[in-house]
Amino acid sequence: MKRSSFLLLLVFITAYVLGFIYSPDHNNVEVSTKYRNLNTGEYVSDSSSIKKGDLLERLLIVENKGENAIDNINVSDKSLIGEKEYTLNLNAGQTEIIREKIVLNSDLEYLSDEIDVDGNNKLITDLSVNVEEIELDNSFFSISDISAERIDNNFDSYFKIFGENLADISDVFFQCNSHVSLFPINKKSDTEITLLIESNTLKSGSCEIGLVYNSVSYFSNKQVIVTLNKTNNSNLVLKRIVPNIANSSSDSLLILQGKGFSDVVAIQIDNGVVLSLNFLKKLSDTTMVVNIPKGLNSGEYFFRFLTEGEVVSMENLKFKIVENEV
Amino acid sequence: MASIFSLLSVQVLANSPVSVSAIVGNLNKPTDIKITSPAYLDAINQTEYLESGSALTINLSFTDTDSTDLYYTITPSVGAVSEEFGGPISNSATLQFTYLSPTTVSSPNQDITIAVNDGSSVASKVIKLYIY
Repeated sequence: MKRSSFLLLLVFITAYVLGFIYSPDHNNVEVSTKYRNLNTGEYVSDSSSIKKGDLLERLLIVENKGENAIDNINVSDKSLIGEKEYTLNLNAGQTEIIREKIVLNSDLEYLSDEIDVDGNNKLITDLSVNVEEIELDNSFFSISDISAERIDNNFDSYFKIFGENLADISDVFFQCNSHVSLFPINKKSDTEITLLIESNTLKSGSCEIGLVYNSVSYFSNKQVIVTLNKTNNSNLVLKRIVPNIANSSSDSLLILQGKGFSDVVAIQIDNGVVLSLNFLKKLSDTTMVVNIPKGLNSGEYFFRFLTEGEVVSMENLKFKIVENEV
Repeated sequence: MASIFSLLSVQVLANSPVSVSAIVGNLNKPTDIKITSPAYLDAINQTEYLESGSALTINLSFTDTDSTDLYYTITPSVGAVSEEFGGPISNSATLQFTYLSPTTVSSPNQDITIAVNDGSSVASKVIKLYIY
């Protein structure tokens, strides 16, 4: 290849790459942020006073102001919430709003945002706020116990908080790292709060539990560990085997609880034995009965679920086959 | 070789009384699951209309005439229940549980599956829910 041709090719490639990075379409992306105090319902402005313990909602607003759809908008977001990366696809005129919640539990003078779009700085804000140092008074109510110390994020969970003077609590929140999830209360009395923690709403890890009383958020001294109890990416999840013991000298029925059972066409025990649909009775998508035939060696086993497209190992739950029991 | 017709039909001709004895295997009767409250849910095809984000208390009774130890599961398609499983319990038991409906659902038609294992068979009942 002649040198001039090579240089020309190089110029074209450079122009193409620069054209992609600095695409005029990507210049039509505009970003802005808003903070709202959920305890008062007011948006936070420069003159706002917010209290330590307030629950803040932060909105990151990304708009495509252009006339063409834009794909693969890379947004880098640094703020009180933490450092996050998003990849967005926006149609012409479309607006994407990303909501995050956080309890203000540290002294702040500024709510600051630094947002880059495709590597170019788009927004830097320093919203000056006056954080009131108040002594949180939670002596009115108290928490003595919680119903579970672990939550399986694959399923909706029934959760109870026990204590005194709980009837005036309006909401319960869980803060897992910086991520806050607010839950309405399904049922309450003076000594008990019952709520539903919907699946996949909490982040895995250790979560602080807090209560909202009289429009102020209070952390309790209780924590839960949130687990994503899955060993695969399938929609099939096995939650429980009832009972989790079978008899080697007679057929045994085990009830399986989980979800996605409608797709199951057979079950394999990890010793290789395949149980066809004749050994299964699907009661619903969440409940299935499996007949463990007699004659299998005693030991501890797990199931593999067979669907038309995949084999899903349920190694997280084991059952036992024993001799002369059940 | 026996004719296929002789295998299909057996005729006994006798001019005096014939005594026939048979041993009937131990036929298991599945557990009877009854919804005692709200009682109307015990009828087939009844639906409970439930607000999203609310709670419903349900009372059950399990009766089994030929088994002693029962295991049960209560599994909602969405939402959660206060009693998800238990056993062994006696063959004449009552149980109360509370169901919590979620604040949002992909479809209003949902259900709660109740299953009782008596060791030889599993009885079941499905409570239909309409969450609005």
